[in-house]
Parts: sequence; structure tokens; C-alpha cells
Amino acid sequence: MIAARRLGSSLRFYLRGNALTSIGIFVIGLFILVALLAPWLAPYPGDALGQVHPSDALLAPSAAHLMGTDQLGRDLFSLVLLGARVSLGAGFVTILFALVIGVTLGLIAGYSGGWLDEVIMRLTDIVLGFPSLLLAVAIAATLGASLDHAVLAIALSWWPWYTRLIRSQVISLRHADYVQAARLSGLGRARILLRHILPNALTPVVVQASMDLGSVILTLAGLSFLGLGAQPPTPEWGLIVADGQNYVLTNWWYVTFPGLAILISVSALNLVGDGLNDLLNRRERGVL
Amino acid sequence: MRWRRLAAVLLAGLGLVGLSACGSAGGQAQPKAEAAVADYASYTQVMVFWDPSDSYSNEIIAMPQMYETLLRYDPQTDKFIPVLATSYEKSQDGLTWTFHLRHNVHFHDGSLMTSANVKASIERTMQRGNGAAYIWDAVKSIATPDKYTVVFHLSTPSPIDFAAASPYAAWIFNTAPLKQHGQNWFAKGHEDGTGPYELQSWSNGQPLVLKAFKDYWGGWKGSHYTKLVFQTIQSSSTRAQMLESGQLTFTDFLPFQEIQSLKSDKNLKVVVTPSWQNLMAFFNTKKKPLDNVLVRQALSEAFPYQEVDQDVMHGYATQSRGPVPLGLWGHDPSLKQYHYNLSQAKALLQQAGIKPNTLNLTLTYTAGDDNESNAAALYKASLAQIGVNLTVKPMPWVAQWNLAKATNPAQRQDIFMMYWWPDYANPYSFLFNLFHTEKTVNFNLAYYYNSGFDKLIDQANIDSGVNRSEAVKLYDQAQTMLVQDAPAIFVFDEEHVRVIPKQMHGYYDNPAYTNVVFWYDVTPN
Amino acid sequence: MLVLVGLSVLTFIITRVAPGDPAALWMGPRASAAQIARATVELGLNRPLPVQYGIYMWDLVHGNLGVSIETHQPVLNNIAAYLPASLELVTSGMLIALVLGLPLGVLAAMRPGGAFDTLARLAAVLSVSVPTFWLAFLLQIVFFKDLGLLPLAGRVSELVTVLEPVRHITGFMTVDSMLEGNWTAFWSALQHLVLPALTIASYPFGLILRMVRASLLDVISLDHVRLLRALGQKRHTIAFRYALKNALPATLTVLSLTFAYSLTGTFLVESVFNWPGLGNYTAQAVVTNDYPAVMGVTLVIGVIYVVLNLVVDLVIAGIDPRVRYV
Repeated sequence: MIAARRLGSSLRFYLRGNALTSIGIFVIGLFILVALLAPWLAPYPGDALGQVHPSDALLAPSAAHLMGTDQLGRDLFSLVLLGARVSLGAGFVTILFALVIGVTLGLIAGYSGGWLDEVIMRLTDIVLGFPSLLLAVAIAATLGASLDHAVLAIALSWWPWYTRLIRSQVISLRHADYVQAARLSGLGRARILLRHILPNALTPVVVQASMDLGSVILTLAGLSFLGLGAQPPTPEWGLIVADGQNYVLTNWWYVTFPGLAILISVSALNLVGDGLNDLLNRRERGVL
Repeated sequence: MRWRRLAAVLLAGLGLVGLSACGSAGGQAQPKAEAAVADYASYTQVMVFWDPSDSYSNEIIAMPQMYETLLRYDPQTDKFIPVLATSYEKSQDGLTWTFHLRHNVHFHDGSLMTSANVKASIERTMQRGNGAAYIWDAVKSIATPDKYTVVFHLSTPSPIDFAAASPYAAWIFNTAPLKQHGQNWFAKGHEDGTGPYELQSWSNGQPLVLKAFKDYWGGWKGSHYTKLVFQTIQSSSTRAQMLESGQLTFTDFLPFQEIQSLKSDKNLKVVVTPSWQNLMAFFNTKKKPLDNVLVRQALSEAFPYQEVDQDVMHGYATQSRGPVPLGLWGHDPSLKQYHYNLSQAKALLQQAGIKPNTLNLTLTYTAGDDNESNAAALYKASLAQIGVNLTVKPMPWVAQWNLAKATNPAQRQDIFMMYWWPDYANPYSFLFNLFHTEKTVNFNLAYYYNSGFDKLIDQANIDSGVNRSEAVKLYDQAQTMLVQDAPAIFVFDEEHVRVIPKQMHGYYDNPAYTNVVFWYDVTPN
Repeated sequence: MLVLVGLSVLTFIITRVAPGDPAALWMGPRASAAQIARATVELGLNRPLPVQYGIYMWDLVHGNLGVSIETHQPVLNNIAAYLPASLELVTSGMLIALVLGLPLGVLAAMRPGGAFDTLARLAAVLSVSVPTFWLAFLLQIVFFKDLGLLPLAGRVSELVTVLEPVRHITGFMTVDSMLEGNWTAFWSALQHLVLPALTIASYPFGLILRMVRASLLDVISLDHVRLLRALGQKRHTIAFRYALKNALPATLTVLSLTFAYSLTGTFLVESVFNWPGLGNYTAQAVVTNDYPAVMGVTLVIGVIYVVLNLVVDLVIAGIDPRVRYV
């Protein structure tokens, strides 16, 4: 549609002039590649599946263990590599989940108006005010603590942001000329929604989602910190940092590398999101 | 110009920050300290129960500073130290115990302690029935023939001296303020004991500060700490740092890594003492195939005891002999142990008719405990070698316990890992709580219901109030039964490892009073 | 209002339905089954759920938020103690973020695409992406361990608590010690505030920088701004006096949302710096299913959230005349 065409033509021109976003795309591409190839790249893949080597506990980084080992002798380099698929994958799934719920509700609210809109907006307010941590704990307590359940919990707390965004987009687009035209020509509601409104309304949501991906990864790490997310030996980055907190001042590598991995990947995602934002919202760039 | 103003604000802000950093020498603003202050940081909340009758939690570290018991037990000499009672006798049949009280002891509000106070304290504790009040269950009545004599009349023999020395449910306090301010007066954050330190200040989120009670019966000759601070710091690396920098005097728990790094500090020393805390893994004896003793014995021989002691506990634990820990009377140093023997384990499983790679078990432990986590990981790896698949599930304590009490027994775990330590210096605390038949599931998490065992330990408990050596014989028979039946893996007896300032003298880590520092007995330098 | 009620119902249902035994938690880990049964009755947990909810709301209306199962103290007292600590921390962090982020965002927007702009954007992205507890550890290592300039943790040094304690007036230790003229305590409190506040400031700093920059870029291309430039107004005057006003509404909204979220979302920072704030209290309460504490905190935060939204709306209306006439 209109947005997609704008994206395509501006993209190459934009990237050439914008170093930061290019770096972001490159880095995140690298991470995704690593995540996909991790089982073959990791020197000790069994360490993420339950193998332990207590005699190698807490070794400093060396040629044999590029990022050192943890208190059970597991190779941190392997764990961080394999953690890429876990953390990035989980983050992606969470956002997807939240998008599906949020966008659907937002579309309905924005387009229908009236009492349906009111109900959905009140629900949004309530869920926004509800401490997401509580939901995560409740789900962990009922269904058991695991990465999947943490993903569910975060998705269920995250969707209201997208509902609000989409709704305001839909409301403003509702009155656009081409939508009026479509309606006058007798097209059904669903068709209008899906083919005309949604693609244009999605733009800010997609941008927001790409920026949120980073926050979600950080939130997953926070839940692991409390023992509510991934369980050992799943190599989730946040979990590794949480496990390493007792060794911060004595074995610096334990916390540093997974923390760096989070920092770099989240930064890259944010740079990409930023770039998308700039790209799709460009007005005529004036210079002061 | 607006931006100049902004820049000025920025600079001022940075300046303030910089000033604060350099403001006082060494980076810390310190008021003059003539007082010797002891700072104890616990990893969890300090004052949970303020009420001395109900006390059953972490406040044990602060209670002995404010309150006292009749006696104190010293496991090293196996004798009782007189505190509020200077001497005591018991009748031949063990049903009458007479305590003679110390004279001229005052409560923090100034009133004199008499036998009436002792009677009132213990009766209130018994009546409320909270915490460890059960230690007085055999008491029929308490008589006070004169101001300084207390007589306990029992319905059955019971080791009342151990009860009187208990860190829970045995505090002597003044009940007078309760009549004036109501029964919740203590719970609101007040105290009225006879101990060497009294409350200076406390409120939510603030540390507990105690100051020396100037009229303490022991007097203040010599070098003593005059102020005590109890605070909560969850992060162990923070506590380790504070020990190193001299800000902290004591902490109750440090992971081994921190201990290793602090060992070489020239201002600190490491004190290692056998504790009465042990780790056990209880088999669900009511679930197939764990109901077969051969299977349990096999699984007991597949546990890597030495590896856990060396690599997980860094040598600060020894494999248990039965459920009664080393150092507590009733422990039998010649009791049989299972040893790590994979081939024998495999043979036993075969004998029991279990084919390799057909057995799947779930083990639960308390989330957040690194030692349990690491031990479980090693056990899992070991079991994998004999074709048993172990799933390890960390859970918050309440959830773990609830699962074990689930009304549908099929939902319960196969192996329950947990620590135990006694309420007071009595092996009955281990044997009764952990293995006595229960109508509703409490702590017998092996669901081991053996009436022969029950009879042995119940009789031993009664005997211990009359003749301890008789009791020990019976406890021994009971423990032998347990080892044979293998309802649990007796993993290890822990040692307490403390890191304290080198110049601190007089500190004795008494296993009967876990994590307690009797600050009055410690000299600062 | 309706939202708050809905919130209370939802929270109540979830806390009471989730498995976990508050009575067991209350009595402590070694309580017997009989003692727990007794506590269940004493705490009113054996009554039907709607009755329990009714009792809770009735107490609430009378200012009683119940007793925390974990701390055994009234929830209101707990919150009254921990909330000011969190407020002090979050406010300081926000102030730092504002003081640093606002001017940097404006300066970056003045030359978009330039070296300064690129650096500023990189700084913003990094500060938004850094895991807060990781940053906290880093700051501790650098400023406490290596440089010895600032304290490791806590709100104020223990000696101050023992020998020259600060009376609780506002709950902000820096303010209270100033009001009392207790300068030792003031310096100690300020020193202890620096590192945690910096850690808290990182996320909003990046956010503010980006928002201000983006809003300014939008505004700069507008006709009236071009006119001002053409008429000879200096660049920074335009930037700060005219353009900034347009950035404020969005920035304030984001700030208020971050503020309310931060009050309980800072538990990671509070745990590392041992800061006795609401975040730590809430995290503990949630994990142990301390339902009165959870209900209390949720409702208090909910109220703060509503009030904050109102205030922000009023301020925006004050700044932006267009809003007033909608």
C-alpha cells in the first residue's frame, strides 16, 4: 500500500545517509544469524541441556572458554550464544502475541465507537494499572514457572499499549477521504478495516513494537531475576545474569557478558526502531 | 540567554554531586562515634514476630539481645549455662522440675523480675499456642512457692531443661504492659525483656537499633558493644563488600564465592563450626515404584555425596549419618551410611524390576537456594548414568510445600529436597517432625507411616526427661530403622562459615542458636 | 473511579485465586498444620470470597489497608514508610534525566545528522537499552570499589542512623535532614542517593532526549518557525523558547507514565542498592503472595496514576492553548 511503497523507495536513500540505523540493522542481523546457527557455533552445546563440569567452575575467560565458566563449570560463551535464540525468540513471540491481541481490540474499538469502544478502553485502563509483575507471578504460581508462561504473562500485560495506538490511528483514519469513498462504494466493514485502514494504521504500531522488543527482553530478564521466568538450564540471558549476581565482585565475567549481550541486542533493536520511526514519519526536513 | 541559564543549572547539579562525593574524607560522612557499634546484616527481614510468645522466625537474631531464657545450652560441653535461673533440680520420676531464679534482675521498664513473671510468660506462651509453644506440652501447672522459685509439674516426663533453653517460646518477659496496652502491644514494635540491650529505635524500612541497658544484671565492666544495628540487605555481594570495608560486623549467610574472596583479607577471619542444619531429599514412599525399599536404596546409592560436599559445599559439609546432625546428642557416629556406588545402584534397580530409561522422577527444591540447585544438578547428571531421568523443579517454598500437601496424591512430587534444623536441642525435633505418622501432611514429606518407629521415638522422648542414656538407645534403634528403610537421602550436615573482623573476640557460633551472636559476650577489640 | 474499582476486583481475584496459603505464610515456615488452620480462621480466610472482598473494601473505606502477611505490620504503615523512599529516588532520577536530557535533545535537534546529533542519539539508545541492575553493578564497582568515592548501598550510613537519626517529616531524607539542620545526615543521604538515582535516570534520560529531539525536528519544519528564522531570531532562542513548548506535552505524558511505573518497577535497582523502597516491598509481596500488601500497593499506585494523569493534563492545558479549546 501507500506506506509500503514509501518505505521501499526511501529506504535505500535513507540508509545511505544514516549511519546509526545501518549499524543497528547490521548488528541485529548478526545476532539473528548467531541465534539461528548457535547449536553449531557453540563449542559446548551440551552445557545448555544439563551437562555440568564442577571441576571447571568459575574459570576466567581464556582460549578454551572465551567468556569463562559459571559455578557449575558450564561454558558461558556457549550459553550466551544459545541464549540468543532463547531471549530474542521469546521476546519476538511475546510482542507478536501482544500485537495480535492489542491490534484486534484496537481495530474494533476504533472503528465501532460507542459502547464497545468504551468497554474496551476501560478494560485497557484496568490492565494498564494492573501490576504486570503480579500477573506474571499468578501465572507462574498456577501453571508453573517457565519461559513460556513468562511470555504469556508479559504479552497479557503489554497489549493495551497497541490497542491505544491503533485505536487513535483508526479514529483519525476513519474520516479520511479514501475511507469515506470505500464506504460509499458499499464495501463491507471488515473489508474496509483490513484492506484500507489496517495497513496505514499499522505503521506506528510496527515502529513501537520494534522499539518494544528491547523492553520486552529486559522485562523477561527481570522476571528471571525473580525466578519466575526461564528455569535452569535454559540459557536465557536474564537468567544467567541473575545466577551471576552473587559473583559480581569476585568473578566479573559471569554477569558482564550476558549483560553486554542484552545491551547490544536491545540497542540495535532500538536503533532499528528509531530508524523506522524517522523514515516513516518524515516530514520535510527543515534545518534551523 | 535561556541556554546559558540551563547550562548553569546543569553545572550546579553536577557540582552538587561532585561536592557530595568529595565532601567528606574517604567518601563517607561519619558522625563522631564514641560508641562501639555492632552492625549485623541479615539476608532477610529481621523482625517478623515482635511478640516473644509467638517468635518463630528470623527475629531470633535480635530476641536474645532484648530477652533472656532461664538457661542457655552449650553443646560443646553438653551443659546448661545459668542465665535467669541460677540452678535447677528435677524429681526422680522426672515429673517435677524446680528452678531457682537469679536475684536483682530488672526488666527494661525498671520492674523487678520474680517467679510470677516467669509463670506469666510461659503460661501466656502455652495459652497462645503459637510458634514452638509445643515444647511446654507436658507441663500440667506452674507453681511459684516464693519470689525466686518456679516449679513445673508435668503430666509426663519431658526434657524441660532443654525447653527452658530453647531459642523459641522460652523468653521471659514482663506481661504488665499488656494489661495496660492490650495483647498486641508487642506486635506493634515494643519490647520489655531483661536482656543486655533494649530498643532504641525501629520502624518499617529502618534498621533495628538497640542500645545497652544500663541496669543489666551482668554489668558493663570491660569492653562491650554499646549499640547494635540489625538491618536487612538481600544482596550477598553487597554484604561481602561491607564486611571488607569494615562497615559490617557480621552477616548470617554468604555464598562460598564471597567467602573465598574474603578469606585472604587481613582484617577478617573465618570461623567454621558444625551446625545442626542438614539437607535431606525425601522419597514419596507412597508412590510407585518408590514404595519399593530396593528402589529407594538404589537411589540413595546413586547420590554423589562426596562431589556435593567438595564441589558444591567446598568442603563445608559432611555426609550425614541419619537425620540427627553431628554435634547434637542422639547422633550416632557409627550409624550406617549409603555410599556413591553406581554399579550397585544399577544392580538394585534391576533386582527391583526397573528397566533402564523407564524411570522418570520429579525433584522439587526451594527456589533461590544455590546449594540445593547445584546439588540437584549433580544428582540429575548422576542418575542419568544409570538410566533414571530426573526432572528438577525449583519452586518458592510455599508452593513447594503446598504441592507436597496436594489433596490428590498423584500430583505430589517424587523427591522433596529441604533443610531441617531443630527448634531446640532435641533429636525428637528431627525424628518426630520428619518421620512420625501424620494424619494431615505437615513435614513428614516422605509420607513414612511406621507405627513401630513411632513407638520407639515417643518412648524415647518420655525417657529423655528422666534418663537421657536410655533415650539415646531408643533413638539409635529408630535411626537404624530409618537408614534401613531409606525413606530419604540424608545428604549432608552443614557447617556454618562466618567471616568476622579479626579483632572481634569472644564469638562462639552456638549451633543451638542458629545465626545468633550473643553480642554482650563479644568484645569489640 | 470505575477503573479503580475494577482494578481492585481484578487484583483481589487474582491474588486470592492463585495457589498459595497466606495462613501458612503468616505463621512462618515451621508452623504445624493445626497452627495454620487456626490462622486461617483468624485471618478470615475461610469465608467465601465475595464476603472477604466486601470486608476488605469496608476496611479500605475506613482507611485500613489490612495487615501484611510477610511483615506482620499494617500495610498502610509499610507503604507510608516505603513510598517516600521510592519517591525520593524516582524524583531525583527523573530530575537528573530531565536536566541532562532536555538540553541535549534540543542541541541535537539543532543540527540533525551532525556528529553531535549522532553521538547524542547513540547515547540515548544505549541508556534506554542498558539492563538497570547491570548498570547498578557497574556503578558500584567503579565508584565504590575502584574509586572509593561513593557508598555501596543503603539510604544513609548506619552510624548516622544510630547516633544522629533523622526525624521523619516528609520521608525524603535529604529534605528532612536539611529541615532539621542535621548536616552530617544530609551529606550522607545525598551521597547514598547519587548512584541509585543515576541508575534510575538512565532510561528516562534516553527517552526524554529522543522525544525532545523528535518533537523539535517536527516543529522546526513548520512554517511559523521558518518565519521566525527568516525574521532573524537566533537559533537557540527559537529552539528553547518556541519549539520546546511543542515538545513538552508528549514529554510530560511519557514522564508521568514512566514515573508511575517506576514507583514499583525499580525493584531491581532497589535490591542492588538496598534501598528500602516500594519496588522491593512490592516484589517481595508479589512473590510470596502477600495479598493485603499487593492489594494495598496496587490501589495506592492506581490512585497515584490517576492523580498524575490529571495533573499532567492540567499542565499541558496550561502550556498549550490549543488543548484548552478542544
